[in-house]
Amino acid sequence: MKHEFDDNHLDRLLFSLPLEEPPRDLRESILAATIYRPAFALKAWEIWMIGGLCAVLVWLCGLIVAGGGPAFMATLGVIGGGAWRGLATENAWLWLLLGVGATFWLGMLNINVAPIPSGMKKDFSRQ
Amino acid sequence: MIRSPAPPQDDELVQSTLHGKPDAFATLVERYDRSVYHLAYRTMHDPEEARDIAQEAFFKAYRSLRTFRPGAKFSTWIFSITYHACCDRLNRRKRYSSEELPERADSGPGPAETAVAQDEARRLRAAVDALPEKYRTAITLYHLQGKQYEEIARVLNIPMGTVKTHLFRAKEQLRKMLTEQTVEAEQ
Repeated sequence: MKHEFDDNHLDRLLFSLPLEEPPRDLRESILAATIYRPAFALKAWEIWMIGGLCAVLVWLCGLIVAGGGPAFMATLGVIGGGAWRGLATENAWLWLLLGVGATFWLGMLNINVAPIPSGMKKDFSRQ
Repeated sequence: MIRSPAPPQDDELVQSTLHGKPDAFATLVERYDRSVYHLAYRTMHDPEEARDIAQEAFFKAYRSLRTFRPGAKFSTWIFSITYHACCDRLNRRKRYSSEELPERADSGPGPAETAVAQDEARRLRAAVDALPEKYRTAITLYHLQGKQYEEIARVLNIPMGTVKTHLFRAKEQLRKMLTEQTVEAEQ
């Protein structure tokens, strides 16, 4: 081995130095974190909208707590009392039962006339 | 004779990725994952951290691909992101650990019967590990990028003259360490 490491010798050594072997799954993990990363379920404008609504709700709650608490409770009481008085009549129960019955009957109807293509059928027996 | 098409340039791959072809980014990862890992490993001296940094660098690059300047070199850009990620981690390490950063890596003596080339490579690796951080990074980039001082200057965000000084001093220290090791090995 040479005692004197001149510039060219050192350069040659540096460039012939092998690179460290990265972990085997490095490439897969990079790809999984970038191009194969599942897209976020919500779009940006939807997040902004939800955030805005939440902010308005928080603001309203703040208003209620700050000053309108008793008035808000009184309004709720009036609405609740009205609903209770309405339900206390026989006519209201009759219409309610009629509505539930109609919903149940409509739910029993099979409106799918066209057959489902075989490719779209799910094999539920395996689940 | 039909010529095979030339492999796409890095900036073409960036543009393809931006136009909704994720496979183009996979090609970029394939080209640079090893070098990025190498730079992170040389700077951090820790395979786990190097792995995390490599992943983080590509993730950041992918996320901010739109900010990539057309005409710039992707390699310089990704190395720069990697280097900054390393600096962040080193700073955090310094902040949260009372221990001094290891300035020297372990460089245990190898078996005498090892082939000369392997022995030289091992010694050189140990010597590079023993360099101060700024010289080590400069010499690692020099090794990765070739003699492109301008590229190294851009990655490290320092003047080209400083890069030349760092490389000169790094080589001086390497030469000194390797010569001393050789003399010791022969005694």
